[in-house]
Amino acid sequence: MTTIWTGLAIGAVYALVAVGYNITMAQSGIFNFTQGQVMVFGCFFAWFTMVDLNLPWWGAAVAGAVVCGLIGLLVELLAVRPVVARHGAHGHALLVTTVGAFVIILGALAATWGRTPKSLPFFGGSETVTLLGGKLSPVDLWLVAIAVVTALAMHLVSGRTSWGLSGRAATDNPDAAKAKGVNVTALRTTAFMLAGALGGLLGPVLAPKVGVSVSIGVSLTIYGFVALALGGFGSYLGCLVGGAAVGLVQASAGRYFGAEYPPLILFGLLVLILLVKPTGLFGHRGLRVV
Amino acid sequence: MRAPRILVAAATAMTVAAGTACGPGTDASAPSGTGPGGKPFKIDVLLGLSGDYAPVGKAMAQGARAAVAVINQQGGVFGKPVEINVIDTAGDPVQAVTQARKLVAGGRPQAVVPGMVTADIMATAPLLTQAKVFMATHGPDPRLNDPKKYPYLFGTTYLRDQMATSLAAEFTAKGFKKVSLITAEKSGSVGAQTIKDVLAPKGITTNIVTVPVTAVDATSQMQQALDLDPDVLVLDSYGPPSAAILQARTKLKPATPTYASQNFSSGDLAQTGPVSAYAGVRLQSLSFAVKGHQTTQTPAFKAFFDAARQQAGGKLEFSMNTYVVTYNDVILAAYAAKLANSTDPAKMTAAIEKASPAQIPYFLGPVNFSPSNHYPSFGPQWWAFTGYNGMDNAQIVPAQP
Amino acid sequence: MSTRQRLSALALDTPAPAIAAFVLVALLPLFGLAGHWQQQLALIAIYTLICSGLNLSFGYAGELALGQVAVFASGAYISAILYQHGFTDILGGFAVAVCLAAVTGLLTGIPGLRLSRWALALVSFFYVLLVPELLKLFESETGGTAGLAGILAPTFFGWPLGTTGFYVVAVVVTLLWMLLQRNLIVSRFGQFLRILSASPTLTESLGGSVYRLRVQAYVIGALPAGLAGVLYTYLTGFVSPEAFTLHLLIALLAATVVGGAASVWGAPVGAAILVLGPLQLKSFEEYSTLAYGVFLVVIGTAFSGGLAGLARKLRDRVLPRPGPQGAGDGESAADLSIPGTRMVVAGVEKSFAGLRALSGVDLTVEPGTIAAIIGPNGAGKTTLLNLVSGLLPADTGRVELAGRELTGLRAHQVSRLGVGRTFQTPVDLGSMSVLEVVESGRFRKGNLGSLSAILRLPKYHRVREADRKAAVAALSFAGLEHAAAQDAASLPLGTRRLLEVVRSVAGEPSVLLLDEPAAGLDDSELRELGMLMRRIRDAGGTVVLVEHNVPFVMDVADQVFAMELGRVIAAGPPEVVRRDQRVIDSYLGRRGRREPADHELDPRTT
Repeated sequence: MTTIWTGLAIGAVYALVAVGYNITMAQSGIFNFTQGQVMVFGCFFAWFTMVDLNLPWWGAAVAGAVVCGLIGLLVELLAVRPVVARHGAHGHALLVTTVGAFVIILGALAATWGRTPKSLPFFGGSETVTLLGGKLSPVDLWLVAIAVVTALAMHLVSGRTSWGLSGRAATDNPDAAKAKGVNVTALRTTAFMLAGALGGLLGPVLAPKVGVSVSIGVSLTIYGFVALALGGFGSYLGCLVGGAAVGLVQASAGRYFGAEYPPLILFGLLVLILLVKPTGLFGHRGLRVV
Repeated sequence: MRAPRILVAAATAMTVAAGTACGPGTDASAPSGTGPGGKPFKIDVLLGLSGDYAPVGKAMAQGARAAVAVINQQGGVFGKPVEINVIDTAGDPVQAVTQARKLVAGGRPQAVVPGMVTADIMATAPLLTQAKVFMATHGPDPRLNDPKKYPYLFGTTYLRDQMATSLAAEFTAKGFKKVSLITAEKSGSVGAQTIKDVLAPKGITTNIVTVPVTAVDATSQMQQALDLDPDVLVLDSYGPPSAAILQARTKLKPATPTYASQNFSSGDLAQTGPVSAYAGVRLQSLSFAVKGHQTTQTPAFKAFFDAARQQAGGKLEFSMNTYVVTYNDVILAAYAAKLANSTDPAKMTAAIEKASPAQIPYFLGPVNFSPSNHYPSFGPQWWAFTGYNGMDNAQIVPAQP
Repeated sequence: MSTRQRLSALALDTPAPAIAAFVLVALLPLFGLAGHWQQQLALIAIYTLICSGLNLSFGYAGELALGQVAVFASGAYISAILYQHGFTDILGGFAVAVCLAAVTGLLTGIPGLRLSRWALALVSFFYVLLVPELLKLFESETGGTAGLAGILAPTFFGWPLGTTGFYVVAVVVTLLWMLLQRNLIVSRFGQFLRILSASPTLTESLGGSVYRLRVQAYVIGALPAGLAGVLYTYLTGFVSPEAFTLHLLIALLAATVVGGAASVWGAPVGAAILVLGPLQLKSFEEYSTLAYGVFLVVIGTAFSGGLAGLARKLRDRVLPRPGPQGAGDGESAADLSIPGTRMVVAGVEKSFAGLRALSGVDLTVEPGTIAAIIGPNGAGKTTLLNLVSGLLPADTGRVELAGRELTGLRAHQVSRLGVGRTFQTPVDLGSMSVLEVVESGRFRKGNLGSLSAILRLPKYHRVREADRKAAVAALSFAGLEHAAAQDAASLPLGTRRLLEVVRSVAGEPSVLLLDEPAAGLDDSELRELGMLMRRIRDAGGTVVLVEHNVPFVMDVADQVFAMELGRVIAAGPPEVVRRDQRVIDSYLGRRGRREPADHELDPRTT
């Protein structure tokens, strides 16, 4: 049971990255390469505000949301908008610039706060909790709860609000949506900002779990993507399932086979799902990315 | 036909000119053994001052400068102050090799600290050996302690098997028979195997569990380690995974006695976790990294400690090992020349192989080199086992039992 | 041709300047180039090789597949392992590494067959995580995390290779690869890659198999990374997993983009900046990652051609290109044979998610005639064209060309059997010239001839000559020969639609399918199009036309098929169909308010 809890907790992290990816996917059809790295930024920022500035955790979360929302805005303004204007939303130029933005955030973090990892204790304590016969930390519980709440909330937002619905229309057929008066650019911008803000908001909870270090950006980016691909592009609830699957595979393969195997197994799983069911388990057709 | 001939002639002339121009300019191309009265003794130190390892590299450079200060206080070498030349390799083997080639191209350097991390050192050592350069290194790879392959290379640090021997002694004393060891890729998996090999003849079995370097959670590995119901748990990682491993231990709260190897203790303990996370963990450490240990009461250590703090601007931010390794490298190289009264690598080698502890008083560690063993053997008195109660100037503050 | 022209052609159209530069660099040790500078230049050579591989898959084929680092590692490790086993010959190392690279490139490229864009980029990012794990699994040979050390002196035919010898080998190997790659890029294969990056659908309809082209691009792009791995091992004398990191990948990607991803000679420039540039200064080192990111964003948004693109623009401004040889030297339309054949469509049905698009279509088109398909939107006209050209599979029914069954074949196979087609929206092919665009219509005839192109065998020159002649002939067919040297993208839209037709004509198709060629043309362009189509018919071609412009259709067609709701409701000569009551009711009567067509297969998005 402890293994399952471990898997779910780390899976919750990947699910949250996947939700972040999904926000821009669902609202603009654009894959936001920077999401994982923005979340790492959120961790650093939480460490900075809580350790250096002594802010309470909620203050750090709000400040993080604002700053990371701005980063999302900048990414959209500088790396996405000019390229979409010039080459459309599907060219490979967009890949170069979003990977570039990913690298910029990585470089800025390394230059500002260095490459030595830091740690941030969890504000909710570190007393082990025993639940259903398995042990877990308070931060694990929080993460699982937050992931479920966030995914549900986004699911409702995308299905019930006009913002979510027009996003769906815009990704299904941008020209038709434009003709109906949907402001596609505004949708994209708000989506990037929301995804960024989510990353910043989560900083105080994520940082104690994943650590404050520039080296984790790649794993968050990749495993978050595996979670998204498994769950399905465009589906928030799929993100939860995908995240849980990735976390459980990682925890149990790591436990019963050895550390070399989880990446290999997850890689195989990713390639398999992309080849066999490119929309993922719960994805909707319009958002095939392959 | 004419043009090419002129071209070749010009090229030859330029090559010769270049050769003569840089020839006598450098001290080391003079016949080997520029002894007393020659130019000042110079040690080239290859360190990563930029790139991933920059902060550590800078701390290591401070250690090296501390050694220069101590030696020069004692009159220097050949009656003149010693000089060091710190060269940046960015911790990258390609750049390290490039810099080493550059050094050799300018004539044989008198002594070189051949790199900062294992990758650098493994890349430069063969090349510098080929050029017959005297080397003092803190590279902990046992492959380097091979006087046949690297005749002019000396180590200044403990090798992994010595760390393991110290652990073996401790475990034998406590009656532990079954060890579960958690290590991380890169930093420790090779070392872990060494520990296993050393413990085996003592009748102690070791189960090694590896955590990926990029891991953000080590719970499964910790569970795997505890599955076999070991007598003792050993934490043997270095760098980022250490924090995840310590967290996993806090979470699972095993009753199993826990040790952290020197590999773990030489990391940044304060950033790895809060003091409370170390409750019940015995840290294995080089003795002079433990505050108040008797090996820190010697004049040699005090000289080092004062000089290092002065170089670092008052406070030592990194682990003790960071400063000590390069300090020892420079001390050993300088004393090699001083004892041999020569810069001839063969004579320097012979001098160190024969040296007694009294002859190299400022070396932090045992002086017991031999023609077959170019690394010092750190016996039991150089190892300490202690609880953790925070850090003070790179020293572990022991917990009150 | 004057000497001056000849010199300028030598400088502009051949790699002579680059060869001269490389030879000069290789000879630098004669002029006293110091050992460590040789090291730096050898490192530039290594990075050049990797960047040039990235150019092929990313710059030309348009897919961000970053398996290069894995291939680089495989080359480095295999030569280190060979050395440990006593095989020290550097040429042997190259040979084995190239074979291994081909295999690694194939394996890392397999996901690329089905995936593209984001998914492929992320999958290939994954390789960076996998390399150390795989090296650990084979620890006994690879040394695991500790790596392999002391790989010092390679031999060359049994002679020990000193620093300078190694340097010369590195430069020469790089030059040879660059020349091979350059030959490949200007060949049919290279043109196909450029088309592939713009539109896989267009590639298929020009007779290129998208799968095969992608695999070839990954495999060929992997080869230089394998060579680079061998050079790297002997340069450092040490390999460990730490050398093959994300940082390296990012740096190489930045170098590729800065040099110019879609350019052969951008690679050495980017690599040189990477090794010698300001980022190597100590004060900048901390910011190097940041700077790579800035490069990627700035170049991606503003100068997508990189330095090579800027240089190209500058050159075109300073030295305008001479027109292609062979243009206007008396070749006439008569040189172009258009061997039309009979096309039969029988009982074809097609549904999309339960919606019937075609419900039993029969039609026959004879050679030497123009058949037009008209009908309201949603009648299934474009769907029918897509079925005939193999872009969509039919549910039932068959399509025959001169008695030969086309049903069930893939688009590139159909194309190779002689079906040429145009699309409603001309694909933007970036920097391809008009002549190159038209030549691409010929690619369906014969094979790619990559090998003869790389080695410049006589066959290559023969094929190229024939392609060029046919392209010029096809251009003069449409009166466009004056535009041959221009960038196709710079032409007005109407001319680009004509160009689509001309491209198909150059391929001497048995059947020519035209999808709304007249849309958006002005009157004079319409006249030209009509003339062109009649000339094709008179030369014996079979022309099938889908068109909304009824007057144009009635004017040009010999046979008209009117479609409604997935079936043919009337067929016959224009004047008969025009008077058919059902056609008037369902279509002609309503003409005037035009809507955008649905079910159209936009070649950009598939």
